[in-house]
Amino acid sequence: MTVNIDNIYGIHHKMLDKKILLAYKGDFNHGIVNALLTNAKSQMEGLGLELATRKKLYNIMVECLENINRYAGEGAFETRLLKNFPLFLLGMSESGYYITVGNLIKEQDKEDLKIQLDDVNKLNRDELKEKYRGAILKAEVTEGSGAGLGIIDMAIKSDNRLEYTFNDVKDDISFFILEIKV
Amino acid sequence: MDALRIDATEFTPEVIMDPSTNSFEITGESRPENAGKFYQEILDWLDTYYNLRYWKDSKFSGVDAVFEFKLEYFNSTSAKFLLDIFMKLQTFRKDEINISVRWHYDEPDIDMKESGEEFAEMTGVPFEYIAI
Repeated sequence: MTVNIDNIYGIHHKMLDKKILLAYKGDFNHGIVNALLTNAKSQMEGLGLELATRKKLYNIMVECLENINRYAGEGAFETRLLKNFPLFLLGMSESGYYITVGNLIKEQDKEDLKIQLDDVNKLNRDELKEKYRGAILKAEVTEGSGAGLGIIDMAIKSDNRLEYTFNDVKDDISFFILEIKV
Repeated sequence: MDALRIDATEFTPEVIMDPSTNSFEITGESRPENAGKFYQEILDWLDTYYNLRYWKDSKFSGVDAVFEFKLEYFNSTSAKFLLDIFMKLQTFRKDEINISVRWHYDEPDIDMKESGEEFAEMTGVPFEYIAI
C-alpha cells in the first residue's frame, strides 16, 4: 500500500480549517509528554498569544498529558486495542482556545471520573477554590499517581465547563474525550 | 551543614538552600516525573537544617530568612509538596524563626499570584508578592 497523498492533504486542510495548532495521536510516555509541551510552548509564543493565556493553556496541557501518560500511557492497554491510541489537540475557536484529549478508560475508572467532572461543573469559582483547598490538604501522592487535584485545577484555570464524552469501545472499555476551553 | 543545590532541568526547578548565606530559592518549572522523590529531598534538608540550628545555635531565634519562590509553572502534584514546604516553614515560625516568603510571578500571570495567595492563606506564612 502506498501513502495516500490526497488523504494526508485532506487532513492537513482540515487542520487548517479547524485551526488546529498541534495534534498528536500515538503512544504516550514521559519523553512524548515533554516533546509535546515544548512544541506547544514555542507554537504559542510564535503565534503571539498573551502570556496569561499561554500559561493557562500550558497548565491545562500538562495536567491532561500527565493524566494520559499515567492512566493510558505505554503498556496500559493490550496491544489489540492500540488503534485507540490517545489523542491530543490544541486549537483555536471563535471564543478562544481549546485543548481536547482522548484516551481509553476502563469501566471501573469511568464512574469515578464522571462523578468528579460533573461535580466540578456544578461549582462556581469560589466553590472550586474551596474544594481545591480541601483536596490539597487531604492529598496523598504515591509513585505513579498524582495528587488528585488535576481536574479541580483545570476547572479553576479554564473558568469554563469541562465538556466530556465516553464512547463505547468494547464491553469494559470506553474512549474518553475531554475538551477544555480557555 | 552542606548547602543543597539542584540544577534546573526541563521539568524540575533549580534549588538553592545555602545556610552560609541564608539563601533559599526555588526557580523555574516544576513538573517532576517523580514529584515525591524530588521534593522529599528539599523537605528532609529543611528538617535537618531546623534540627541542627535548633539544638546547636542558641541565636537561632535571631535568624531572618526569606525563601524566594520564582516559579514559572508548577503542576498540581508539585502544588501538594509546595504546601508541605509552607507548612514546614510555618512550624519553624512557631519556634520564633523569622522566615517569610517572596513569591515572584510574571505580572500578567494572575493564576500564579492567586496560587501564592492561596498558600499564604492556608498556612499563615507571610508572603510578599513580586510582580516581574
